[in-house]
Amino acid sequence: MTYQLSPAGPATEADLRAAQERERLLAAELPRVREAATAWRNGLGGLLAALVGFSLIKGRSDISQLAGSWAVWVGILLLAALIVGAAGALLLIRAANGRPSVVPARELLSRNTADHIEAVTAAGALRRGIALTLCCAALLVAAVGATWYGPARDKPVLQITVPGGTVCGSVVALSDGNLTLKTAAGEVTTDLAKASAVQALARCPVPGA
Amino acid sequence: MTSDNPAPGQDEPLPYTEITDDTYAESAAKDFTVTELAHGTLALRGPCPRCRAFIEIPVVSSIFRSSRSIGSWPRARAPKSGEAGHKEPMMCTCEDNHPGRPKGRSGCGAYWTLAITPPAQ
Repeated sequence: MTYQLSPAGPATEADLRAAQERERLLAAELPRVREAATAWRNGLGGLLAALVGFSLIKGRSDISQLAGSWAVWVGILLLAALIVGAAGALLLIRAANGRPSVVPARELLSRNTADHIEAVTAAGALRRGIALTLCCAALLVAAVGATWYGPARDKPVLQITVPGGTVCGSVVALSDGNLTLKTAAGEVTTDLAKASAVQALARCPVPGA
Repeated sequence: MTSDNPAPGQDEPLPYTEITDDTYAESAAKDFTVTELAHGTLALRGPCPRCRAFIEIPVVSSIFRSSRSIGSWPRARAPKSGEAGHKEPMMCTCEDNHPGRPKGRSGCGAYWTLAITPPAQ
């Protein structure tokens, strides 16, 4: 089944002007898309650059200082931002510059027709590129926020084995061979000369566990 | 206005004249072929009813338009008259030499209208 053509009655000068306007719009359509894509690409690039610059101003910048699960989630956010941002950038570049493709000569269309098809494709790439780039910015903001305000990793603790048992806690002071640890029961001072073992732990073992 | 459709192969190029005739639409309806290139984009191909130059006329359902106003979103404009099944204004778009053609225009000046009926579902 194909489209059917039939006369649509007498044409008027308004029909001629409408056809001329369509011709004019189609001739300028692809440059308009390219211009808009270039402007969006530059604007969103500036937004991301400003965002990255802002994240360097203050706040924690090393995710290894975050608590374990938070560091994992920040890593996932950064990876997602990288993937989404790369896809968005490629789409914006594709919208602004076209796709490097070779078309079989027998499929060549008139300039206006080919330009319109490219313009529609480029406009779609531009919309998707904008959405993905803004999504990348949101992911970056979330990652930076989580890095700044997420809980810090616990400080390493020492577990000292002495004749009377074990003492575990973070180091408070060391003087004259005596080590003071901050334990769950308060500060405890231990004579290192009597210690049979000193072990560094991520956290103290829970009593009874 | 009346037609001055010349015989093909004449020596002198047709002058540019904005002109229509009932036979233009009849000739185009008979001679033109329709190809759907993409969703919402048709290509009508055939000889111009007046100057007989082979032309390709795109019929589109939407055209990209961007606004510089704040908060605008670039997207295709809603279709106005390009939808299949509607009356579609046509004009010759050839690049042949037609003396008297205004700068920035194309074709020989012939125009007509066609009804494009989509295939039955």
